[in-house]
Amino acid sequence: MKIVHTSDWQIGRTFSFVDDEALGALQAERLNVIQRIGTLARQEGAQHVLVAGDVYEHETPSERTLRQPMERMRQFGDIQWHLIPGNHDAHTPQGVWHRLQRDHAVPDNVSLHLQSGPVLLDSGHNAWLLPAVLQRRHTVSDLTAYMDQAPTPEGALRIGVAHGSVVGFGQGDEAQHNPIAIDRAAKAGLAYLAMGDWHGFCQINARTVYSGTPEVDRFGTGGAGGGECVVVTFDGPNAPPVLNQHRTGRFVWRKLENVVLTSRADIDALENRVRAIAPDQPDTILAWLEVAGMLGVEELALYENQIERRLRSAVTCLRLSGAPQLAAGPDDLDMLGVGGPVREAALALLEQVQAGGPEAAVAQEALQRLFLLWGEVRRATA
Amino acid sequence: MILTDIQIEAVRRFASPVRVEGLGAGLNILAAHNEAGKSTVLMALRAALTLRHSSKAQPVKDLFPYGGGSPHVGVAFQWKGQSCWLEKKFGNGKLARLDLGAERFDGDEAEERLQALFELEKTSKSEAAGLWNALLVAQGESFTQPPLLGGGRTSLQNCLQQSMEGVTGTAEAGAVLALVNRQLAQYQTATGKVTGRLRQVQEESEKARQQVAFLIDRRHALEEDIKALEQTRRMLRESESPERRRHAEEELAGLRQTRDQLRGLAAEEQVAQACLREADVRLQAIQAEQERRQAHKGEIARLEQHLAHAQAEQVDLARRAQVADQNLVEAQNRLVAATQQHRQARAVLTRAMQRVERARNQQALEQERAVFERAQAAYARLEKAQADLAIMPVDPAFMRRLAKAVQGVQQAEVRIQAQATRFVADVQPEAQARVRLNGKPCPVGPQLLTSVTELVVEGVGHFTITPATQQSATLQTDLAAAQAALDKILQEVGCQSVEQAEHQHEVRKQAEREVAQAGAVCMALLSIPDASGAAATLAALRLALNEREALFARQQGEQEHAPEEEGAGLDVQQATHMEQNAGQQADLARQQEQDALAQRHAAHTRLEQALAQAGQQQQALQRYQRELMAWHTEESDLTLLNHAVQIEQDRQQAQAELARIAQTRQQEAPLAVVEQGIMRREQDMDKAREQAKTLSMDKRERETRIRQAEGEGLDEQLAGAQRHAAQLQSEEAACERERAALALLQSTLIRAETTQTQRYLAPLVQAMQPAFSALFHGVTLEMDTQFALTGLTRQRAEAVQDLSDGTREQIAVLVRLGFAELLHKRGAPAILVLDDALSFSDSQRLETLFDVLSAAATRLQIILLTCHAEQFAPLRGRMLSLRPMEHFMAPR
Repeated sequence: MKIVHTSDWQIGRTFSFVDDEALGALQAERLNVIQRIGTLARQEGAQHVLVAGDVYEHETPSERTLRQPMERMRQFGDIQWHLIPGNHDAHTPQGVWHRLQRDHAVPDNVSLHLQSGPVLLDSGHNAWLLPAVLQRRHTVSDLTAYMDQAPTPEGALRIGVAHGSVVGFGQGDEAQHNPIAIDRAAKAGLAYLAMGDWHGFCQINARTVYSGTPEVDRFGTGGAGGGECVVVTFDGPNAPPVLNQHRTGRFVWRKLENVVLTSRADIDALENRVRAIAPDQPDTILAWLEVAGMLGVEELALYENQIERRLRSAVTCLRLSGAPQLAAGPDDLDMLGVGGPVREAALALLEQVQAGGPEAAVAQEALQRLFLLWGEVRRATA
Repeated sequence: MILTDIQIEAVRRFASPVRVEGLGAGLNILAAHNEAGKSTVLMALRAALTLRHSSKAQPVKDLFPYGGGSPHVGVAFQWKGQSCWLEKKFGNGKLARLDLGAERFDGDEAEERLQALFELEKTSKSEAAGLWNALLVAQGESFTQPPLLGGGRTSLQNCLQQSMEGVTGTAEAGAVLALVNRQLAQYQTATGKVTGRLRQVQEESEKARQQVAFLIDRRHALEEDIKALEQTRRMLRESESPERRRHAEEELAGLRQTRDQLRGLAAEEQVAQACLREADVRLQAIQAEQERRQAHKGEIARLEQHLAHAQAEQVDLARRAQVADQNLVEAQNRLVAATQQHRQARAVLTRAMQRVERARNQQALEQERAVFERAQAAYARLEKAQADLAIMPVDPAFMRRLAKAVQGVQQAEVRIQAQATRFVADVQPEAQARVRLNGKPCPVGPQLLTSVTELVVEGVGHFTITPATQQSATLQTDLAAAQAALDKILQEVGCQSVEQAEHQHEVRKQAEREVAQAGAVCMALLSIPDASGAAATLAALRLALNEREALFARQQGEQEHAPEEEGAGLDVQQATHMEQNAGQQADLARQQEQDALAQRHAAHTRLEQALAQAGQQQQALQRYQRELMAWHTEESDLTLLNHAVQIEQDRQQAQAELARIAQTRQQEAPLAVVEQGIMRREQDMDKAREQAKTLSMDKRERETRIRQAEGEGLDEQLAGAQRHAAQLQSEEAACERERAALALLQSTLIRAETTQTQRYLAPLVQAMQPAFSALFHGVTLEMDTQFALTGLTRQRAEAVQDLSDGTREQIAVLVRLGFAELLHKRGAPAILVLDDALSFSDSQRLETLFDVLSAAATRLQIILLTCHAEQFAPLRGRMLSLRPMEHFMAPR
């Protein structure tokens, strides 16, 4: 028996650092990936897709956002989709699940698991699903604990599905919420515990696995990779499951830290490095560059042209933190002439930069602009 | 450079050649009247320097004379110790010649050398310009600073010994600054106020923040709605629970049953209490009847006893009434006797008093008779005085007429004396006898002579003095008439003289006083207001007095003939005493009679009262007896007693019933409590129904709101709004960074440019500064890179355009002088020509300007053209003149 394990679709998510065009593309791709998952299930011969929480980003999505994933799943009538609430879309009063049920928006091939307890998954394989249901965004109790005692027929294939943080993994506040015992699969006799919450693939043990989000949505995924689904094959209730990761994501998110630029060669290398993320499809790249360094007047102009203009136009998103500083010296001032007010002004600004302090950054910017404007004037008069 | 000669021919008004005579080093002043040709001289000088001889352009056409001919100008000057000559002719016979010492240049070559010498640049085909244009100042140009074209700036730049690079750098700095200003203008105005994209971003950012806050509020409201909806649903379920409703209804039914039982008991209790109350009332009525009958019996016994006692008392009272009647008769008799005695005493007293009265009347008559007689005597004296007065004619009217006649005589005499001759004799006493006037010894002192007078001086001779006779006769006639009138008046009263008349008038006044005194006595005695009625009053008084005396005499006679009466010998006091005693006796008898009468009345009254009381008691006794008889007839005492026993039994039965009811009630809650319980439960049920209705409405409202919020995708909206706000915030920060950098760049560039300009213009400012300091104490100059003076700072910064016309002209002249000084210092040719300048300066400033110009004239030549010779006289420069020439004379 095969299942497809996925989670954290986060439909309706927004991204503040991208422009409107990129935002539309990113949001559309989070829906498109459902089709790719359905197609994968068909290809793999999996009858069931387990979505381990956080189908939706918000508790009150718009009507269209609410129904869009349902309609995408409806297109795969031969596949049974099993959905549980996550911390983003907990089963709260008037929540998304209530709305879907109330408005009869759930297709027949979609099962909403909103109560804890064993559910027959596949009578032919005697497979039973044990969902853990989040009734609110955060809980301090382990909702999978009931699985230890949940009765299923003798020899049944018990598959757990839950959304939360495995105790002992992760850091920060999020790891304290919705705890799940690391040995739940063993204690509850689960053949597999399909987990959601982490956005990168993460295998806790042989039977406990985070699939990660099928379409990456952040630069730090909280695990390895991201943009994948897991196809799980069971050869019996006690045999260890066989896992196969499949790429489903389209966009590639990459953060380049500590990029130091000091020369023209560094600028070229940076551009190449970014383009190398997806050489054939630069429009799928979202890059976050933490840039520092010192560049001369000419190099700085090159950086602005090559990185800030050309590369930004090539990729979906180029997010820049920091910037190379102008490394102008007396030699650079010579291009402003041996005398005259412009050189005098540049010299004064350079002194402010070298003096440091809070005004130095502004003086640096002013100096850069002076060189740029000087160039413009010279070109105009040439 | 020093101009030494200027010759002009066929230029505008000068058809014939003229020469400017007297030119030399230092100050030169050409003072001439208007339209003498001063400006034409300057025009010709400019043309010689800046217009090409071959030109046919408008400036050249303007030179042509009114009567035809070709403009011809020649200028001689000293330059570097050489005598030089510049000559140009325009139009027909055009020529250009420049002699520099021994060197001579003609035509275009002369033009080229001229431009090189004077640093002129071609500005058009026919014209060249340079700093010299600023040094030849035509009429009206002195008010503006010189506009410098390329050649002028080049000259100055050469003067300032700056590299071209510095100047170019300044221009490019201006271009960079313009770009900075343009970019900065996208973020802020010239005054630093936020504008453009930055303002837009700030406003949008604020709106976005407000939108986020609004959506967060809506999100909270939605959460509240969801919580409240759950709560409402719970409450609604509870309030609509059938079990709860059934329980409430059963409880209410039980309470209502209890209430009905309690209400039955209450009705029974009311019946029992009514029976009890009726028994009590009836029993009380029987007891009252018994008490009433007993009271009647007691009253009958008491009345019978009273009646027996009253009969005995009536006998006693009748006897007392009889005694009182007898006492009254005796008292009445005594009163009659006393009254008689009192009447007699009163008659005695009356007679005594009549005697006293008669004596008093007699005395009064005597007094009245005496007064009458005195009045009669006074009246007789009055009549006599009045008779005396009547025969005296000299009354006050006569005296007034007499005085007037005397006055007429005196006035006539005065008039005669006024025309008399005044004669004054001052004769020694021993010689007095020897001098005689009208024969009499001449009196010493002044004399008035009204008629011919004879003066004899013994031993001397005889003198006749004849006074003036004019009007003498008339005056004498007047005097005689006045004297005659006076005499006539005196004769009327029989007097011989005025003194006699006055004596008679005095006698008459004495008679008048006598009349007045006699009249006053009469009026006082007769008590009348006017003496004229005295005769009548006396007559009436006499008649009345006679009548009273007759009456008194008759009464006196009657008294003397009356019989002797009792008490006739008593005087009034004795009679009075006797009458008072008799009165007291009568009063006592009257009092006793009154007492007896009162006693009699009292005795009879008591008797009548006793009889009346006995009658009443008898009637009451009979009434009681009748009533008692009637009651017994109606219901005997025994029957009454039986009824009382029966009622007492009914009463005890009712009390037993009430005890039973009270015992039964003790086993149940009070009716009020039960009814309150029913009411409370009914209200609770109503309230629950209302609450269910309210909750249902609330539920529907909340569901509607929640559905609406769900449909709008509030969380998505919020996320979108937050994203938008964050982007705007980021853009705002970027704009602010950009703005700060541009603002810093702007201020730095301006500062650098200012410093550079100051440094660059320092020699020019330095050249101008002394002259400016002389005119404007403590002034600092500000120039721009185009060599225009933009402002000066005295106590504060002032823009040139804001200054007065006079000050601006002075500044413009000083700037031109500065240019000339700068050229001179550099060894370039330089003079300054001012046409009709400084006319707006006040005398103090003009003096200072003269000092400045005089000082400058020690270094370079200055030519002033003016029509105000007297104004420029203090300059004491060379006085120039325009002198006609026979021929244009070029140097050989």
